Formats: sequence, structure tokens, C-alpha cells
Amino acid sequence: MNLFANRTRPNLELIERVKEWVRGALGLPPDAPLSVTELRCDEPECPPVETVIAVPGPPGAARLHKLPKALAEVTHFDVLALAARGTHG
Amino acid sequence: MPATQDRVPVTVLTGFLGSGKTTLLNHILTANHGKRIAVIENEFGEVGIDQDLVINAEEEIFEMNNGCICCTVRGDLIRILGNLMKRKDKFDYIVVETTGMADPGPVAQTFFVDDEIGQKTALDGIVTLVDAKHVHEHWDSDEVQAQIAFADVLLLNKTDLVTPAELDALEAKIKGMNAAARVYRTRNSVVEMDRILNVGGFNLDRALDVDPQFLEPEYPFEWGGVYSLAAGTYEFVCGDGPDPAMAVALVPCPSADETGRKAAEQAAVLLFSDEALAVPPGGALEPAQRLYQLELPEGGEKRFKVKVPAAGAHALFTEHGPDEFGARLVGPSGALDPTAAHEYKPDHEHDEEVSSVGITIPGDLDADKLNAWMSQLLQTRGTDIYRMKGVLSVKGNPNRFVFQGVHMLFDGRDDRPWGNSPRSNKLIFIGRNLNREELNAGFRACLA
Repeated sequence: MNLFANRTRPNLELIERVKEWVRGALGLPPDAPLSVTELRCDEPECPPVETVIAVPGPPGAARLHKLPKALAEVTHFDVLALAARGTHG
Repeated sequence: MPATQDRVPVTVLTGFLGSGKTTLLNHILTANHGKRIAVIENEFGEVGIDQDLVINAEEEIFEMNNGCICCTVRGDLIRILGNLMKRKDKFDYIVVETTGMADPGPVAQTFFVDDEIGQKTALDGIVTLVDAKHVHEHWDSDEVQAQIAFADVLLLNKTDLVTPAELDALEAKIKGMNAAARVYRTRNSVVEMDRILNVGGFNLDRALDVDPQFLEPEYPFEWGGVYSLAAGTYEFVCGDGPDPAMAVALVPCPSADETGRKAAEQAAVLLFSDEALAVPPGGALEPAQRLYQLELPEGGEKRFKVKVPAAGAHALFTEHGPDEFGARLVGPSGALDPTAAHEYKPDHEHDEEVSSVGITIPGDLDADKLNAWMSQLLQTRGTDIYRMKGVLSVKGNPNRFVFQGVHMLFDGRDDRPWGNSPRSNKLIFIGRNLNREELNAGFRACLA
């Protein structure tokens, strides 16, 4: 962890691009709310960086997908493969 | 990240059931502040709110990483804020009213963890209402303690239902838990809007706003006095007191007056975080950069030699008030009166698990040591640290470094240059089971 490292958040276009891929891959409506977030976690058991795709919903219906890479590195293929594999959470 | 003014500010209202949140929300919606406010409401059935942009939601705790508390967010907020942002032209402020049992942690974290929300909204502050009459029935509740601990603003509401003395006691207790929050007393949730909206509680631009309460350090000693001493041997005499030992430090100071005492204060604070040298009765202490622990076995007067090698002003700091032990410094012609003295407020009596630890230390920090210490601290104690904020002086950096954090989430950046101002570090932790000595010692070890 470097407290003095300025974390730049991924730009919104990048986030929106991945969201479109996710909506397409999961068959969600175009305005379905999603959270696509690059997490950098310092918990020992967490990977240092991962992209978490959360599809919020009522308890039990929420879905969570994770890719162990930075958001900028996520490809359309990653999202399709992930949707084919299933979900966590 | 976009500048704060480009993001929609969000105020979170918390408070136990019946504390007056919905009444406050009605005041916010009807007050003449010129803001168009969207409301996300988790509490149902108290008072109906007649307003277009009110969205009801059920709280959904959502773990972005299984079991990792810092990545626990509120799914309902992600969904609703995401939808609200599509109607961004309809409002310019958002208020989230949580249920009485809500943990503010995931609410706050939602604004820092989710990239899009973090870029489109700015968490302005957490406002917690406390029912002055009934809060005593809920002190055991984790939620009540967390809501107080997380707050930027605390409203002691329903003040008309308690006596002034009860209110004073409650305010003291709450300030002991959260020393960084601004506390206001209210009736019927009536409060000026500028005290609860746009308070900048999470805004690093305002981390430097000096809140005397925030910066008022808690001293590890209860008394300090200065004496003008000739070279020679004196005695420090103690009777029986409430403790079988007392830490003391004797430090040379520039003058035997208030200025000299103040000048010695910071050195004494540092000494009091050191390991103490035990001194049995009959033992000696001297003006030095060290802390002594005087052993005070019960029965009779305990006398300690005080050797002063060179004449000059000296400041004596004692862990407890000298009156409690009948303690005095005695010279050849009898007990000496200090030429200036000050009684420090004792550390807050922390009956609650939640408390605040404020640290004020002059000097520069070593960036590597600070990184290592803070990383370790957040990894091991982050769950217990609800909020932290401060201003740091890092060696080699001409600018102030400002930071704030929620649990393990840390947000910091350079601020304006120190210029000719004395470089110092001021920070506060608010959390559960905080170890004041450990935090002080750990932080002090980060000095360059």
C-alpha cells in the first residue's frame, strides 16, 4: 500500500463500455443499473487489483462477477467468458 | 476525479428509530435554501413526505469482495443513485435517510468504492440524530455507537425532554466517542441548514478547517507546572493517592512562566509515550528527556530526589493532579510553588467501546515508515477504525499532506505548502477499542 500514490479512477467512458458489454452478455435491459468498479484492496486475502461487476438486486437476486485485472485491461471476450461461466455472490 | 463542485453532494441522515430523522428531512425539504433535493428514503412509516423526488428503497448490503469489510457497499444505493444520475438536471443535492438500524459504514463506502458514483457524487457528510431522552436505552447497540462514531455532525435532539445537566453529561459522553464531529443541540430537529448541508466532512479541501474540538489534544498528563530552580538537590514528595504509581517528566524549559510551560508541553507529550523508568521511593530523577514512573507503595510519604545540575527554568509534568497525592516539590526552604501551572483535562473517561484518539506531534514523518505503519494498522485494525482524518508533515514534501479514511479506505493528497508555518502532524482516529498509547507510539515511531 502506498498512501501517497494518487489513485486515478478509471474514466467513465471505460466504465460505460464494460457496462454495455455486461448488459449484452447477460441480456439485461439497456438502462439496467450496474456497478463496474476497479477495486484495489489491501486485505491480505484480496487480490491487489480486480474489476468487480455487480448487478444489484433485491436480497438473493444480486449478482457479482470478478475479473482479476484492471478495468482498462478488461476485454469484451473476458465479459462474454465470465457470463458463460456464471456468477458469484 | 472531477472537482467536488462538479459532483452532486450527498448528505446521509442516520439516527436510531424515533430520533427525529424524518422530521429533519421535512425541514430540509421545506427550508428556503434554494436547493432541489432528491431523497433516498430507507425508513418507512414515520411521517409522510410530499415530494416528487423521493425514492423508497430497502437496504441491501452488498459485499464486493466476500467478507472484506472495506468493500461492503449498499446495493440499493448503487442502483438508485445510478438511476437518479440519469435525471441529474432535476436536482442538485441528494439526501439519504437510513433506517435506525443502519450501519453507516457500507453507506459511506459506496461513495468511495463504486467508480461511477465516486465520480458523479460527493459524500458531503453524515448527520446523526441522537434522541437525548431515549439514547441511554440503546447504548449497547452497535448501530447507535457506529452512527455516532461515523458522524460529521451530531444533533442532540429532543433537548426539551431532558434537564440541562443530563444534556451536558450526554454531550460530554458523545464528544468522548467522536471528538471530530460538530455537535448541536436541537428541538424538533430544527437546525440551520448550513450546519448540516455542505459541511465538507469528507472533502479533503476542508481537512485543514480548524475545528478547535478536533485539534484539542488529549494530554497524557493531568498537571504541568514550571519552577525557577537553582542547581542542587530537591525532593518530590508524594503521599498516598488513588494509584500505586505515577508517571512524571521533568524537562528544562526556556522560561519559568506560561510561555515556558507551553514550550515544554510538546516535549512532555512525546516523553509520555516513551517507556518509563521505574523509580522506587528514595530513588532519583533529573531533568532529562525521559519519563519516570514513581512507585508509590501505600503508607506514609514517598520521597524522591530531584537533582538539578544547572540553574534554570524547569517544567514538571505529572500523570495525575498533585493534589490527589498531596505531591509537592520541596527545596531547602520548604515546598515550592510553581511560577505557572496548568491543569489538563484528563483523558475522556471512555465507558464506551467507541472513542476518539487525537494525535498532535511536531516534526516531519518518514514516508516509508508511515506507509508501513499505516498499512499494517489498516490491515489489522481497519475494521475497528470507523473514520480518520488529518494533516501530515512528510519529510521532503514542501506541502501539507491531507487525508481522510473510512475503515480501510484511505484517501489523501498534497495540499498547500507549509511555507513558514511550523511543520506538525495532527490526526484523529475514531473507532472501537482504540489503544491510545499504541497509536501514539506507533505514529511517533514514524517521525523522520
